[in-house]
Amino acid sequence: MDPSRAASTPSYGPPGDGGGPAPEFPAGLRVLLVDDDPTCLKILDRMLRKCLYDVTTCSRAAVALSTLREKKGWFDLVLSDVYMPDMDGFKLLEHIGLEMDLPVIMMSADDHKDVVMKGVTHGACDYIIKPVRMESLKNIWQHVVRKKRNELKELENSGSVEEDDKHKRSLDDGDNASSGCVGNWKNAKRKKEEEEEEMVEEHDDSSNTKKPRVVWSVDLHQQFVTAVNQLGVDKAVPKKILELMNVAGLTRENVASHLQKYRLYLRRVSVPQHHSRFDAHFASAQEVTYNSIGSVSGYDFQALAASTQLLPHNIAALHSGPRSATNTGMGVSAIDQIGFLNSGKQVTNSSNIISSSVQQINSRQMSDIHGPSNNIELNQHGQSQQVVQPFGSINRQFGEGTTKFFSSPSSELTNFSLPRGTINGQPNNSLARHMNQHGQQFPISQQRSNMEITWQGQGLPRSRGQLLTETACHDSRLVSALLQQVPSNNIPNHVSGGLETSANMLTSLPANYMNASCSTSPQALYPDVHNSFITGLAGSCYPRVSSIGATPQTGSVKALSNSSNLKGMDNHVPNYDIIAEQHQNKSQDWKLQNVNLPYQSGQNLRHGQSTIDCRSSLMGNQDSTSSAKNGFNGNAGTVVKNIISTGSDTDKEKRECIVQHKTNLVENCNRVTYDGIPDFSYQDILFEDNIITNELMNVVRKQQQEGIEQVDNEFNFNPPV
Amino acid sequence: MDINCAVLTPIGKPFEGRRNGALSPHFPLLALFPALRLLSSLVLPFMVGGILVFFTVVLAVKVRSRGRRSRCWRLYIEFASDVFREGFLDNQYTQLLQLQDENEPKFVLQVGTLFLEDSEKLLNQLRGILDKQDVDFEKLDACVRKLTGSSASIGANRLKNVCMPFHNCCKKGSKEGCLKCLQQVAQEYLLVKSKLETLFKLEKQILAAGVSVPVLSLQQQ
Repeated sequence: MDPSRAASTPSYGPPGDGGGPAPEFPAGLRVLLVDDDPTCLKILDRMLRKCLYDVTTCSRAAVALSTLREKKGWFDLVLSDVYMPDMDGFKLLEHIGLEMDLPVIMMSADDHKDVVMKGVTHGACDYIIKPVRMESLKNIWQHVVRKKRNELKELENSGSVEEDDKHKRSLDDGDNASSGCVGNWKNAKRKKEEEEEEMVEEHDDSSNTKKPRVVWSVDLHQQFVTAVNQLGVDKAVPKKILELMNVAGLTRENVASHLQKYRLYLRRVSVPQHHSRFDAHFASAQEVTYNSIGSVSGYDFQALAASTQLLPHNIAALHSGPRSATNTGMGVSAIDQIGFLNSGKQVTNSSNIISSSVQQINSRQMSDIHGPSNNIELNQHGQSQQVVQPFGSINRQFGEGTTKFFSSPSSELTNFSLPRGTINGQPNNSLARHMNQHGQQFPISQQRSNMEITWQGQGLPRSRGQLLTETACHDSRLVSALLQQVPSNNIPNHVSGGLETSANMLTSLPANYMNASCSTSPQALYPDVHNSFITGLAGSCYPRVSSIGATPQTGSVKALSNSSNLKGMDNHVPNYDIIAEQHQNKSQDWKLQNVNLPYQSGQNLRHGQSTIDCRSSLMGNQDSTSSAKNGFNGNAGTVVKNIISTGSDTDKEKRECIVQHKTNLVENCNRVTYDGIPDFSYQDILFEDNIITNELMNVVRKQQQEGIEQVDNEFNFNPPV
Repeated sequence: MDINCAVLTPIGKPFEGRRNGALSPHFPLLALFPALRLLSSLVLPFMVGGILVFFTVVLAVKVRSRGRRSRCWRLYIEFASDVFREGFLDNQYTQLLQLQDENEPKFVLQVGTLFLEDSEKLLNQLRGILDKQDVDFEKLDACVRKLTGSSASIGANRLKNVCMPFHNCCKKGSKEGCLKCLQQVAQEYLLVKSKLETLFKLEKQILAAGVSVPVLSLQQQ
């Protein structure tokens, strides 16, 4: 940023949040200086003031900490000495990072590599060797800007819509350091602070002592979810999870805190009506956990997508749910959801649901089953929790035998506030397929697809769902196709009691789907994703897959269920084709959406079916799609593409759709605040990449014109509090 | 090897050029040479640090009828050059001089005084720790570290350099080594103390004479 930009002469100015015009950035940067040496303190104080920063000095770390606590948000940056008598500088650094999450710069005359490394590992933004020169201090503002940017990104990923969007735009305008930033960083800071508080709380919950943050990547989260599913959500204990995960460097505490968050997320997801921030919240609340969750959900999503071929749509939905902090979470999150769904529950339920009534499934499943997956979808859309839930809830229900999911599918379906709500259909297929492979996941995926389909139709919350829904809406046909696929899968999985309902739902789903005009294609993708995801899910338990076969399939459902036979994933392919075909027609966006979501996770969608294979390969490639700039995009795009392409000849078409959609999705995602959607990576994935934003936006807009509400509008999800 | 010289140029004051052949007012360059050779060895640490490779001392003194003012000024410049040349202070100090402005005209004076007081306390602390039977090396190390930081911040280069071996002795836990180091540190401290105090005094004289203090800047050549 160049202070010279502003015409006005830089002045010390009041604190950023004080009254009066904001000083020209970086002038007025509020720095807290902590050093026990009075000489250094005085010198640095003078230097910083010469840089036109707003300096507060402390000679004791304890005083500094209390000052920071009292005046939260008062400071932008902390400069601290390493060796202090009352408290170690690193400890202070940890505290600050944990409680206030401010950028901290360490200083010392000690330039030994290990000390500097210690600073890095403890999270310091920078390490300055004494004697400190003016030049070094002139540029410390960059750390503030950088941090804000990253936080914005994360927030966006987690579904905070407008604010992030604006910020992102402003930031992306390329003038972080410039006036663009000036206005923004203060606003962003405030907004972030509000949101951060939520996050911070969660952060605090997670660990007493701040260790180097564990980044719950999509993969890691997947592993986590897998482990949890294996153990059983209710029975999972951190120790066992840790053992199952077998990840080096992961502590029991990390797992414990993550589990806690995950459980919260699931709880949230199970309530469809809840603010859609579940996922987003969950995800956003914990930067770290997001990843993991995202991974989880991504996993689900993918699995679902794989099975139900709702790919783009579903995937997106899924991803939106559990946004992982990392974009990769998207795919993972979806998958996680699926996996979550699957493992914990009876997959068959999902399939049943699908078959019984799409709508029901959607709503219900979305809300119930989705649990995690729901979150994904919901997250994105915030509102779409319902949608998501069904998916997730499906799983849950399955496992828990909750028939509620099933019982009131219809109602639930409608509950999905997802505007598009069409995502559901697809996942089922993929799920089915996927499950076939695994024998377990299938049901889940079906559910997913079911849910997705219905979901979209229901007008699921857009946040995440927007993307999904959009896609879903577009291809109602696809949805129906998916539904058909799904039913087979889902039905069995679906709550025992609700088999028929699910079937009905499935059928209704297509109907809804059609209505929703969500493109089914994404779903198609989704199922594939799911499938692949599911296959990728190691040890995920989708016990019910097999049972799905019995799902009554109404017309369309049947078709869908073909692929979703739990028994054999192979069916998936056919479904996919169906969907793909349908999809071709429209849901370009879908694909993108779906793809985005689950595929992010590096699941090997090694599915027997071509679609899945394609997807998996796509997923692997992260940058196949044009929009694959960001990891997320790439994954999503690739996944979507694969899914689409594998199954049908409309690959290109789909790809394009996907790409477009992805961008839209991404964009949408960015703006969507995932409410209550736990770390669905989906969201993260979608949002992280701005690349496809533009494209997605275009696609989304198109879709919107089809009757789908503006994604943007929808995405005013408030970040979960 | 080349002579390392610190180029000291007063930047706050225009000077009218050198008086021809008048070497007496300023240090004769010839006389400087031996000093310069000595200087190079003195600033060896400098070189090792690779910070300042070449320095040339250039004294620009106004000779004409500044009279007392110019004399004060001259003295100041000369002395400062000496100090820099001998490595008692380095460019960190000149940076501090640049921080001084109309808003804070006595900044360097204040900081310097603060530094001297603080260092004195630290030295006493060090002595106290080493006097004990059981030497607390951790505490000792902490004090030394603090002293290192202070000297680095003020630009007291030589003092900072002798703190390094002291730090190593603390790490080893050798009381004898520490005592030796302490002696060296104390010695360097006294030297830099006298230099600083002289500088401040000369500054005062200049100000009293109504002349603004030149802002020294080290130039690398």
